[in-house]
Amino acid sequence: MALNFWGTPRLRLILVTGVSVAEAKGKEHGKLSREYKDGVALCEMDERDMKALGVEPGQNVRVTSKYGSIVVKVSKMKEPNPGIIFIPTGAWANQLIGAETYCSGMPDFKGVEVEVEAAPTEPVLDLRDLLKATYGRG
Amino acid sequence: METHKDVVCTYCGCVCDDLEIQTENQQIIASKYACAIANEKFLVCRKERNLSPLLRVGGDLVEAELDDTIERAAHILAAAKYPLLYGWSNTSCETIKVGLELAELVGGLIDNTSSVCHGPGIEAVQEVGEVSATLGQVKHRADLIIYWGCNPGSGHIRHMSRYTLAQGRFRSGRKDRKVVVVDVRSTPTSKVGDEFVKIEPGGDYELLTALRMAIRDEEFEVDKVAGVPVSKIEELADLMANAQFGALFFGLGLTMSKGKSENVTAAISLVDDLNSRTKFILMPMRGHHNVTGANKVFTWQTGYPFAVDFSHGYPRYNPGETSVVDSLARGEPDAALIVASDPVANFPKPAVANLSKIPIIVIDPSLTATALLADVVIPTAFLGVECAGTIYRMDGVPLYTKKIVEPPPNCLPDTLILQKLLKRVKELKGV
Repeated sequence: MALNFWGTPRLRLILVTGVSVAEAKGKEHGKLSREYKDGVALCEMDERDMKALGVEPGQNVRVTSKYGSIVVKVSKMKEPNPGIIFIPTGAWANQLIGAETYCSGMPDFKGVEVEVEAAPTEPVLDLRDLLKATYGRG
Repeated sequence: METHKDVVCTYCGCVCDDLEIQTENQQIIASKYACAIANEKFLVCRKERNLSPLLRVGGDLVEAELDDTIERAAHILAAAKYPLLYGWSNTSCETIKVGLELAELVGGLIDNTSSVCHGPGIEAVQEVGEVSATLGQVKHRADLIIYWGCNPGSGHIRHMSRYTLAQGRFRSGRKDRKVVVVDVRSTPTSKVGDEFVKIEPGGDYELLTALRMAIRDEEFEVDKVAGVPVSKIEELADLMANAQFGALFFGLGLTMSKGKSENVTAAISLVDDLNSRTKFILMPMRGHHNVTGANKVFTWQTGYPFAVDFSHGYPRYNPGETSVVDSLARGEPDAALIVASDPVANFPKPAVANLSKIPIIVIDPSLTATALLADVVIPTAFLGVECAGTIYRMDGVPLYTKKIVEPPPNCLPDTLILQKLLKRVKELKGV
C-alpha cells in the first residue's frame, strides 16, 4: 500500500459512477438541497478498504484520478466489493472523469483508476462552492 | 379529493402507466403503485423549485419577465456561429420536434443525453442490427432473464416486478423464471438473481466473446476469462442455449466501460448466435423517461438518433466528432441552449470548463447546476405532472402523459417556450 506525504495510507481502487436511489430521490428535492448533497457527494466503499484506510462511515476521503481530485464522505457499501468504489453521478464524481471518448462520444464514467486517502481536515464542498472553485461561476 | 388513475410516470425508461395520484386543491397529496423514486418525484418536485425566469446581470442571476428572457435567449442563439442545443430526454416528443427545427435554423449542434448514456449501444445496433421485443413479450414468455451491467434494483425499481418477474400468460411468475446478474460489483439487483456472475472491471467484451465460444462448443486454453472460471461460463452458456425465451437487458456497465460500442456489438452477436438455437432478445435499460423518444424524433427529422450537426446546412452524424462531450472538450460551441438536462452536473470536468465560458440558456422545471452557471433561466411545467405530452418507453412503445395539476403562473410547458423562442429567432434572422 502506498503512503501519502503525511505518511497515511493511500489506496489504489477502481471508480464506478452511476445512479443510486438516494441520488435520484435527492434530485427531486433540488440540486441545492441537503438531500441531494447527502445522496451524491459520497463514496461507497467496501468495509475492508475502509479499514485499510483507517476511515469510518461519515468521515471524509480525498479521491484523485489523473483528471482531478475531490473530497467526499465515506459510506459503507451494503454489498461486498473490495477494490471498487462507487460515487453517484453528479458534479462531485465528474471532477474525476476525463473527456476522452475514443471517437465514441462516451467518456469513461466507469472503471476509472483512482487513489483514495483519508481527508479528516478537508470539507466536502457544497454544489455552489464546488462550481465556483472549479469553473469560477455559480 | 380527486384520484387520477393510470397516470404515466415520467421518471425512468420503464414509463410505468398504472400509477394512481391523489390531488386536493391542485396539490398532489398521495401516490399509489409508484416506486420510491417516482413517489418522491410526484410528492416533492413541485415544492422546491425556481418559479421565476432569471437573467444574469453583472455576476448575478436576477428575476426577470418571461418575455425578456425569451428575447435575450433569441438574441444569443441568433448571434451564435455554432450553438449547442442539448438535453431533450426529459421532455416530450412534441418539444423535441421544435428543438430540431431551431437547431436547423441556427446551424447548430443538437445532441440528446444518449450521447453519454446508451449512445454506444445505438452505434452497435447501426453496425450489426438487433433482435428485440416489447416488454409485454418478455413478461408473457421469457423464462431466462439476464441483467448485464445494470442495476434495476436502484435505477429501474419496478422493472422486475412489472415486466420480468411478474405473472405472464405463459409464465406463472418468479418461480417460472431464472434470473442471472452479470456485473463488476454486487448490487441490490445481484441479490435478487439466482446466479450472480462477478466479472473484472473492463472484462465485458472478453466474457461475452467467451460465451459465444462456449455456445459453439469451442475449446478454452485458459482457466478463467475476465475473472470468471471457464466451468461457470460453460454452465451459463448451457443455461442460455436451453432457455425457451431469453432476454438480455444491458445497462451502462457495457456502454460506459472500456470497449463501449464494441461491448454491445459483442452482446448483440451473442444474442444472434443464441437465436440459431432458441429465441433470445436484448434490450438497453434506458434511463430517462423519454430518451428513447428523443432518439425516435431525432431520427424522423434528421435521419440520425443523436449527435446531429447542422453547421453545413444539412444533418451530419459522426459520434466522436459531432457528439456533445467531444465538441465541448474542443471548445467549439459559442453558445448553449440546455433543455431539460443538467450537463454541468453530468459531464466530465474538461467539457463543463468550456461550457462555463459561453452564454448558456437553460429551459428546465428545476433549478439545475447548469442553471447556476447560466445567463438565461426559464422555468417550465413538469411533464406528466403539470402538462401532457408523448414519451417513449424503453422498448419503443409510445405513451401519452397526463396533466394532473395546474402549473404555477410563470411555468409554461417547454413546448410553448420553444415555440416562442423559435418564432423570435426566425424574426431576428429574417426567415
